[in-house]
Amino acid sequence: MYWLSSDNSDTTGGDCEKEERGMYEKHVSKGHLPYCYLKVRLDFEDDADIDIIIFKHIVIQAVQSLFGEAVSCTPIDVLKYRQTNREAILRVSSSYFTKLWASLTWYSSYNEQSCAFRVLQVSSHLMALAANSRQLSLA
Amino acid sequence: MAAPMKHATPVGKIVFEKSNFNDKKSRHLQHITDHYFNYSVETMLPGCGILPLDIQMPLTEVEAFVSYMVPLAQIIRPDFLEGFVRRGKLHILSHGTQIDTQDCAALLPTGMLILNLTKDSYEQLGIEGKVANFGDRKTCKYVIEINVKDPTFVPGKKLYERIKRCLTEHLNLKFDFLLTWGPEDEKVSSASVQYYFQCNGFVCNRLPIRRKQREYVDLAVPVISSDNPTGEAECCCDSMEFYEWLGACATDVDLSATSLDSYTSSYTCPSPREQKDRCVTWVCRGMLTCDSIIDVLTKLRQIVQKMDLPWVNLTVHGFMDSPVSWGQREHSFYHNGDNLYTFVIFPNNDYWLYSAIGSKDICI
Repeated sequence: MYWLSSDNSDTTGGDCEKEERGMYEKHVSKGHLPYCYLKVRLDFEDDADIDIIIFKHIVIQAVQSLFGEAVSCTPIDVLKYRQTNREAILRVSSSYFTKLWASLTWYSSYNEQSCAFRVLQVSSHLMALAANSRQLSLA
Repeated sequence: MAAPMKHATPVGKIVFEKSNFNDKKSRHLQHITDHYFNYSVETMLPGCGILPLDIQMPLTEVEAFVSYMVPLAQIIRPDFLEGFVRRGKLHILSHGTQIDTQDCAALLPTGMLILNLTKDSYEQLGIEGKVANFGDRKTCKYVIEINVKDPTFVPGKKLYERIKRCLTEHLNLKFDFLLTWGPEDEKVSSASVQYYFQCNGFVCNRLPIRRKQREYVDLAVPVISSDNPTGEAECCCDSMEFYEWLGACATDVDLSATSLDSYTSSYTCPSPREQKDRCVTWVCRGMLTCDSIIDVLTKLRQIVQKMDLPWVNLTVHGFMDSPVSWGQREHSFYHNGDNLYTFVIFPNNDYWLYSAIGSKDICI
């Protein structure tokens, strides 16, 4: 057969022995969760130096150009921003998520420089954006 | 923008459970063992400056492999079924194909071979399956389930011969496979499966396990109480706000820079909170086995008591393109391919368990 010998020892641990205590509770979310999170990247045809303040300004400009001035009352948070590749994590209320995504898709130029938002990952859990198995490197 | 879109499809679902490890009906082990394909494990220890070495051991010892362009017919060969599928826990998952638009395959340790196929592939293959729960008419997908561990699934029997014919003559499906094998016999090495593929002329390499450690100094940590997940009492924080904060730490959001009047972000650490001198987080990525995660959980339970920590957490992310999430529950990618869970472990053996899934996945 193809079996090779093993030199690994058993590493399974033991369990604690205590009396049963506490009550079981289960909550299942229904409908929308409060926020949606988007991991996005802003790509320019030519390289551009964009800091977090300008980036936030661009996001608001994108929404404003498609849906108008009323945007100012909707908070969009830039939770994280990496200036080297202009990658950011945005947080928005679930009910405005579709409009934000649409606005980012439509946005195409900043200061007469062609650019595009790439939506890399979307989730209603911030934790989910911590890992992306599609980026698994095999080498 | 003023009018919100309240009827748009939700992006995800979350299930929160509170229980105790010593509760006889606690399903924490089942929850881990049913989640077959694990991509990333992350743990956070508040109030701890150095990561204990024994937490890392179980995960770094996992032997996972990647084998390229393997025909599906290869994994139903009698020598493979007898040598590996029926003699240990074999996890196989296709890699590099996206489940929303392409063919994907997985072999579960229970012996179920799951094929998630596009309409074209399904019709060419000719094995009976069912329409997937996901997708619309345009992106219709089909799911085929075959129990290859069944004692009657052997050469000479009608079902075996028909499936073999379909996989070799009708449509020769080939995948890059990620795999792990936990042999029943301790004297046998899990690297035998790599040797098998190499002997059969396939490239089969060890899948590297990537590790990353982050240390925090003077971090504000929310105060939580295992008995009060809803945060009704003002002395502790709500479990959902706490989960968001854990996510902010995991995604490396700079929590020190943000304040309520900040232009870029209004997010802050939830209240009430306490300052911790040192915190450490550790991430491990690759293809990780359920048994190694159980070992880590056991060690974390000992550490939270021994080091007198307020809590520790363990987050496991599944593969986005896995055809199953928990057990044989169908999984796919709609807005996202979320299938992850987080344990928050308390010193009194209570735990909180968050399971996050995509909007069209079936709840656990």
